[in-house]
Amino acid sequence: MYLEKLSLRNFRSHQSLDLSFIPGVICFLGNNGQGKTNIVEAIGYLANQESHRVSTNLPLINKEAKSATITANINQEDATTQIEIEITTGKSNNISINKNPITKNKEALHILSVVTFAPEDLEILKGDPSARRAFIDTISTQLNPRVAGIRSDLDRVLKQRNSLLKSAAMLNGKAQQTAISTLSVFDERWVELAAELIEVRLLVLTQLEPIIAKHYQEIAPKNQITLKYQPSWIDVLPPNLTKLEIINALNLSILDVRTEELNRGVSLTGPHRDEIGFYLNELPVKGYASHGETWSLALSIKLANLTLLKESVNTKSAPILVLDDVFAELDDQRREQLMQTVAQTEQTFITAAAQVDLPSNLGGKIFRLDNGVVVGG
Amino acid sequence: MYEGVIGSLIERLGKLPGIGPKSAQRIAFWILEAEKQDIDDLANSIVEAKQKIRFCNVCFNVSEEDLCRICRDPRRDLKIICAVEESKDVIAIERTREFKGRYHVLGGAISPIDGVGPDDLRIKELLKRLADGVVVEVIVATDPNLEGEATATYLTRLLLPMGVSVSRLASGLPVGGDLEYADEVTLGRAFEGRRRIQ
Ligand SMILES: Nc1ncnc2c1ncn2[C@@H]1O[C@H](COP(=O)(O)OP(=O)(O)O)[C@@H](O)[C@H]1O
Ligand SMILES: [Mg+2]
Ligand SMILES: [Zn+2]
Repeated sequence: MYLEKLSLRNFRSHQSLDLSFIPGVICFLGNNGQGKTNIVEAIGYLANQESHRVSTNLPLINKEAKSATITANINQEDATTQIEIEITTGKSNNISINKNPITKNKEALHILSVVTFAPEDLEILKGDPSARRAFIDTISTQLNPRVAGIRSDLDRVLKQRNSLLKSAAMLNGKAQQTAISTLSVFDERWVELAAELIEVRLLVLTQLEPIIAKHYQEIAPKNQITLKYQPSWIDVLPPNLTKLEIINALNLSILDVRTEELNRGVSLTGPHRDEIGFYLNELPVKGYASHGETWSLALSIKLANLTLLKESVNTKSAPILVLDDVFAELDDQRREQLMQTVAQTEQTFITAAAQVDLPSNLGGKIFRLDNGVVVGG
Repeated sequence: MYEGVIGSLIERLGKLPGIGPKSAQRIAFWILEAEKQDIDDLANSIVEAKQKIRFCNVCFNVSEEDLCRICRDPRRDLKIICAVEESKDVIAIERTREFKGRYHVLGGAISPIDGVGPDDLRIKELLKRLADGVVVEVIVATDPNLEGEATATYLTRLLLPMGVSVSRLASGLPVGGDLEYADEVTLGRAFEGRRRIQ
């Protein structure tokens, strides 16, 4: 699939921008702060309904405006689909497909698939556990849009649960009893959703691990990459857990932490506290791997993401690739590896400060940005 | 931003459910241009509704008298109660003509983030209605979303030990949505196919 057209209205620095594309490589060149990443961020948002840079909508909306709109024409097997997202704060986005408003925003996740590789991806390896959870959840959602629903329901139950725990902590006697029986009602649904998400994460991790390891070995043969899911709700994760076993373990775990949860007023166990460990030759990547090794692994992760999406039955055709400011960070060998993937991808969007940062054999169409606007193609 | 009278009109309209700032502005200017009589009528019906409409003493549905139209109707089956979140759900279910019993309007759903716990709903009043043993079945028709389901589970746990049969609407309702938005046919089918909770 490829983008034929992209229009931005009040998306970040772009008050009004209309671009047309053909398949192949498309580069945005310009100095820092010109709005290059803003353009490719919009492309990623269109596909995943989340940004690769921020977790809230507010920064995406131009500071002079109340909402932002991204519109794109997507060509898939010679049929064009138009998708339009109006991004707002405080309520859910308004999305139309071929000008028809849809009520379930999740449905739009089926249409476009985009994989973005950006310096922010180093956070997967160097950042907090939340970055690794976000990474596995994003891939899981790309592979199976149903996961978006599980995640938003789970967020909501978690909020209800935390709010209950906070108020229950301040109550006593009969009132606390009522709060605890209310808690058990939400727990029932929470455990079900939590188990569904964990089951998907474990499955996706097993699929990802060998592909990441293979991509890493293309650059650094004989090095071994392993991924380990480290749950908060069981001491040692047994292999091949069934969903029922996950449910049972979660149920036991919430009983275990009940007193502490009531004391502290927050949920202490579950998928929102799980960790995914990345290991290079048995050593944790975080804290041990060198800068270069970390970049190589981040690249391998993204290539694996792309491979998995290509192989998936749910995505009809190959995803679009976005490479935001990454070539300047990669050495020749890694650039070569990335170029092979670019060559096999129908459409790739690339941002860079200057042409010298890009491989000379890249080719494709170039847009230059100056003074915050696209000045020439 | 508008100031003075027009500003406060826009602000008040903006507080209505489903009305954002843009619509509030549009409505305010429509009011300014409309016939005076039409606007007087509108203002009067708002005041009158607020003055006259109360809640039914038995089921807490909106009513102009002590008992609502449904609770007054001798043809309604006293053995079945359908528990709903809001009065507007009563209207939605009445449209299906599937249900011949009486209602119980809980006044919302359990939602700790909104500060609504079981004691803030009319659950005690429901239990009181079951005390004389006339009612044999309670259909829990809360919204098919997280809070509605939680409320249903909570109610079920209270009701089953009392010896009444408890049922939930059959699936097929749009999940995550509001009961009132389900079309008549879907809602009617959900009623017919309701399943008993053991
Ligand atoms: N919501 C917003 N409203 C207006 N300008 C914004 C907004 N968000 C970001 N910007 C501006 O966009 C610029 C950064 O754009 P970006 O695409 O990240 O630059 P680059 O070309 O280096 O990739 C900054 O100057 C920033 O002030
Ligand atoms: Mg940038
Ligand atoms: Zn009544």
